[in-house]
Amino acid sequence: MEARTIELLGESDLLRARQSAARALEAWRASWGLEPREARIACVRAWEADERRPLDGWEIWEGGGVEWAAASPRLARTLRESLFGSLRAGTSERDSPVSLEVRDRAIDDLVAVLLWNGARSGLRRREAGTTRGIPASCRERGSGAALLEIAIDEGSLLAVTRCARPPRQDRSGSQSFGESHVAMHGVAVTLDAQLGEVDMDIATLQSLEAGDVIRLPARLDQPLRLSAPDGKTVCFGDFGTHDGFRALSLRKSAIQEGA
Amino acid sequence: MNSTSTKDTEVKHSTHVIELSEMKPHGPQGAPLMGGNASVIHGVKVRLRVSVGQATMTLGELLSLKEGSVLKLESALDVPVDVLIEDKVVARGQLVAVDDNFGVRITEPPKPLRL
Repeated sequence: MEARTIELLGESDLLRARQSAARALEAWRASWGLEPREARIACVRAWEADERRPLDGWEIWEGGGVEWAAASPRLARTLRESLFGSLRAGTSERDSPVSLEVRDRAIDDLVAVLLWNGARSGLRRREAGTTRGIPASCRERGSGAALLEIAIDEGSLLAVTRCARPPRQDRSGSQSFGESHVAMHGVAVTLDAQLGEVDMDIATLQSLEAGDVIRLPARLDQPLRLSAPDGKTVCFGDFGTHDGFRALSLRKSAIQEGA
Repeated sequence: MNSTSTKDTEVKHSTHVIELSEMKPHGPQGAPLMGGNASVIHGVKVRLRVSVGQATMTLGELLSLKEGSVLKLESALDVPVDVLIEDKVVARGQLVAVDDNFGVRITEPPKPLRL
């Protein structure tokens, strides 16, 4: 019977990977003279990623293990514009081979920073235009690999990387236990902002088409429910936006509101 | 076999213990019972939940939240909202107002049922 080591990723591992990618992205922007911007990074376990995602025209990098990355054609274009400004009418990228090369180096650099902590030697770049999905080896359940989806300006970059585990503590007894409440304060938790629920029969659900509208019971002035992973209500909040993202202005906790 | 009579009607009924035969499953080779016909479950009601986004934080950060704090979600404004059954996304759509209520205009409809 064949057995393999598995590494399961918890929410805190994914959070750590996302934070690490955000720091790498910030450092990369600074090193290339790009204005600092807040990164939009999603991070999921690689085996949970949708393998059917179309990657036509994406540029692909591969490392020796699970390391893998793909840059959208849009990313290459927007990055070139960020570095050199918009193209004048009547010109094309072919007119400026230097800018193309600089742009390519910038993306190589970004991939290396994200995946290999800056070292580029292990990464292999495939020809542009390669049609490929995320490799199966990256998507093995329990591989310990995380998929980062990073929105950079209008482009996007997918990167599969092994989650960096925190350094293992010496268990020989040299270190005393920390207090449990201190340890628990570091546990990551994902809250879900819910607009409401509606009951529907399967026939109606199955007949839904693009453009159809589901009317929800929640009124526009009603606060949204923020729930914990077990479904329990944490608190309520008024719905709005913050820095281009959806946001909640928090109201009283569920206990105070008697939920 | 027992034989009894009811007091009310004085009619004699025959009663006996029932023995059910042991059934053995024949494996998966039988024909699909529904024959691919999903119409029998069309009336079943499901509860749809609409999520506008998530926020991940540490328990320490959660406990330090105060009334009036602004919690930024991980979903940008132009990202569709998820329509879920239990915790599975079944459709996505654009957040809209329907009169005084919230609504979802479907952009990614549910996939057809496979039986």
